[in-house]
Order: sequence, then structure tokens, then C-alpha cells
Amino acid sequence: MDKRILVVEDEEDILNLYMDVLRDAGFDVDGAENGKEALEKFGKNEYDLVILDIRMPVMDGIETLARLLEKKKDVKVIINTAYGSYKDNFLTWGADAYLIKSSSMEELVNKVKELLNV
Amino acid sequence: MDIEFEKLWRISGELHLSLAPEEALCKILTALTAGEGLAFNRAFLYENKGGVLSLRMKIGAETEEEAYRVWEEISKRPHGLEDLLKSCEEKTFDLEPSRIVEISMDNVPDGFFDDGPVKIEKPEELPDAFKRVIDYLPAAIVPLRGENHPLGVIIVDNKFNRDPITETDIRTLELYAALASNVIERTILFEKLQKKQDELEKAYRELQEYHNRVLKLEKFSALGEIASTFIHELRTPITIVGGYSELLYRSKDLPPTLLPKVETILKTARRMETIIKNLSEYIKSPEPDIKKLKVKVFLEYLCSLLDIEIRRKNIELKLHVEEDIEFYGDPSLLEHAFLNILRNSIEALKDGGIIQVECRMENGNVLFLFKDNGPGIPPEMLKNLYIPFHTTKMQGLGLGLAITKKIILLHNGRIEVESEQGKGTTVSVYLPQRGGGKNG
Repeated sequence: MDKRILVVEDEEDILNLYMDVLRDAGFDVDGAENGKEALEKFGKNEYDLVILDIRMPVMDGIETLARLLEKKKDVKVIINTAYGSYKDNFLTWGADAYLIKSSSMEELVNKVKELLNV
Repeated sequence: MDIEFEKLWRISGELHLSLAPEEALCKILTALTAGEGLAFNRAFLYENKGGVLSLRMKIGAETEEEAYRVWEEISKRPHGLEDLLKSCEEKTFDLEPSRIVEISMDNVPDGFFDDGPVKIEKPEELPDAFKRVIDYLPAAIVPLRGENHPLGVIIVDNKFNRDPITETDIRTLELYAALASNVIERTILFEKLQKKQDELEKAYRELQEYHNRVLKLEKFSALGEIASTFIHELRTPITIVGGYSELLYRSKDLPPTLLPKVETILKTARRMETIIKNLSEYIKSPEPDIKKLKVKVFLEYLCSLLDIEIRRKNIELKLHVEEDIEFYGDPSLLEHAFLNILRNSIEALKDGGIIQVECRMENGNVLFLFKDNGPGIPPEMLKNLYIPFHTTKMQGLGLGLAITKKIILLHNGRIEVESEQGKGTTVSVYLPQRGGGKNG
């Protein structure tokens, strides 16, 4: 199916976990540790979906999201954060889904599959 | 007239020292009856209370014998007028119910209060309104007038020595009426002022109480901050542990012997997630959902929840509810608060013991008592009982009593802990019966 996903997450262990889980589910996955790095990768490669943390150093998730959407309007974005408090805003930012960080990888994989229609 | 002026001058000096109504009225009447004063036998003061003149105070003997006895006693003592008036400062007054006589102002002749004192010598001269209250003639009726309204009436006579009431007496009474009115009006103003001051003081106390309550709650929003940081800090490591164990659990490469072990890790991570989720629920929704609760039913239910724990630890749980009290509170929050208290007792009773739960009404509050006969709490610990994350236990966050206190405060209640080492601990929770939240 060759869908390509970019995981943007400053916590290295979480980044590796998500990349492992999504690869295991059959996706082509890249990682970035902050928004700036994400935009650089986004310029070089085509991605179908981005999993985005909000609280990150260098460039936070909200700004990153706006810049990503400037580059590619139809990219699917899942906000993935430890904070429940942004939940009311994510649609206005242009994201497609909002997940609170949890140990349920099934939830994450299902949401990715749902958005990518696979 | 000079002598009369001098008398009035002396009396006036004394009267103006009194601000308390009873004391001032006593002085007014004493000066009227004192030999050195205006020297009448009896003086009655009727006060205007909302259109009714009612007897407020009376000075003078009941019978002739009493009158002469009193006069003789007074003449033996070397007291002057000022001393006599000063004695009013220590007196207490109350009228026997039979003496409370009232005159409706409607029956008082028009313009009565605009004129000066009147001398009544014959029964037919007596206005109807005063017929019931005047039992001896001649008498003088002295209207007292404030700035814009009648203050009352003084009635004087010489029932026992039968002296006449002279024109000089009437003129002196006219001046005296002005003085007395002035003094009475001042006491009324003073009373009003005092009442306002009491109201202000009460309002101030209430404000202070409210301020303290707000301060306390503010501390708990600080707790909320800490807990919320805590929750977010924990979410990441739990996600990693749970995520990887889930990944392993699904992996085809995992040897079957390791499967139950990985499953245990996964379950544990999920459990941790539930704990922090519950905690975040607590700090997120502090508005209690108030319902009417029956103490007995509620406490029996709580005790039933602890059944297994107490039996395993050989603890006897005694429930004593004096009467079936009803109150308003948030059942789930209070369950949480009370279970925290009871679980602390259970933990303290390592070698078994007795926990007593009591409930009774106290000053309009519902008082819950949780007593154990455990080892007690060391004094240095007692100080830090409600400080979040302050714990000596191997397990737990040290949030138990902090959250309990927060819940009790949300119900406008209070919690007190008394502990004696070697004897046990008593936790008292006071909740207002009508509940505390917005819905209460």
C-alpha cells in the first residue's frame, strides 16, 4: 500500500515506539524530533499523513501544522499529545484527528488506517 | 429661676455622659424624682414605638410607706444629685409584664406634641388617651419631641407628699423636656450607629471567612497544577511501556512462554493509565453534584465496600448513627473522601483493631467521626497531613488527604484530625446539612 507517514515527536522513546508500531502495521515511516526538522523532511519527501505532538522545542506543533498545510493542503494530520486541553481547538487548526497519548497502539493504528482509507 | 437653671445645668452635665438608652432614661427619671433635682414623687416614661406609647421606665415608690422609707434612707446618705444619677450606670431594668401599659398615639389629641407640658388637676381635664395610665391628680404630662417626630411622654406627680404642681414646675419641665428629648434622641442615634457598626463587623467577619475559604481553595488549585503536571509527566513513560508491550504482545516472533509475562506488563501499564485518568478527572471537575443523602444508607454502603479489606486484616468496623440524618452532598466525591480516611485507618491498624464510624448533628452541621485505635500519627507528620505528595508510605502519592480535604472544602465543610501516639486517631468531618455546592 506504500502509504508514507511522518511522526513528529520530541520524546525519542515515543518517536521510536510509534515508528516501530507503524512499520509493524505495514507503513513507510519517517521521524522528526521537532517542527523544524519535520518541515525539512516534508520538503524532501511526499507524506500522506503526519502524527504531530504539540509541545515541542524549536517549533511547536501548532506552528508546524500551519506551515505543513501551506506546503500540502490535503495531508492528513493527527494531533497526538499528553494534554487534553487542546481538544476543542484542533479542528480549527486544520487537523483531522486528536489523540491523547495512551498505551493503546491499536487506537493509533486504527485512526491512521481510517484516515488513509486502508 | 436662677436656682432652677443651676439644677438643670448640673443635671444636663450628667445626662450628656450617657449614651446607652436604659442608662440615659434612668438618669432622666431620677433627676425628676431626686430631692435635689425636680423633686417629684413619681415619674413615668412612655416611649413612642411605632405609633404606640408604651411604658419604658418608672421611678417612684408603690405606696406611701415605701415612699417615706426611701426618702428617709436617701436623706441619711450623704450622696449628692450627681452620685444618685451616676448610680444609674450600674442598674439593670426590667418591667414586670403587668406594668407594660400602652397608649395608642391615635388617641392623643392633635397638636399635643407641639405644645409644652400640661398640668392636669381635674379628671375632666384629662385627655382620654391618658385616662388608663394616670391614677393620681394633679399630674403633669410632658411631651418629648425629637427633630421631626414624637419621642414619648413623661408623666410626673406628687402622689405621696401631695405637693401641688406649681407654675414654676411647669416652666422647669418645659426646659427639662427639651433637654430630655435631646438626650433620648442622641441615644436613639447612638443605637442606630451601634447597630450599623455591628452589621459592618458581621459583614467584615463574613468577608474574612470567605477570603480564608478562597485562599484555601486557591491552594488546592495549586495542587491541581502540580497534579496536572504530574499526570502529563507520567503519560509519556506509561505510553512507552504500554506501547512496546502491546507491540511485543502482537509480535509473531514472541516465544509463547513470554506471552503471559508481556501480558502482565501490558495490563499494569493500562492500570497506571486508569489511575492517572481518574486523578485528572478529579482535578478537572471540582464542581460537586449535590444530592440528598441518607447518612445511614450512605455509611453502610461505604462500610460494605471495605468488607474484604477489614476481614483480611482482622479489623472490627463499628458503625453508630444516632438518628437517621439526611444531608446534601456529592455522593461520589464524599465516597472518595471518606474511603481515603477509612483506608488510612485500615493501613494504620497493621495488627488488627477497631474502627468506629459515628455520625450525629452538631450545631446544624452533620458531624462524621472516624476513630481508630491504631498507633497514632507522630506530631511532626500531623503538620504535613494535607500537603500534596507528602507521604511516608511505600505506596501512594500522598494525595489522599489532600484530595479528601479538597472535597470537604467543596462542600463548605471542614476536617480535623486528632491523634495521640499509642492510642489512635480521630478524624472529624463537619458538613453543613444543606450542602455547600451551588446546587445545595
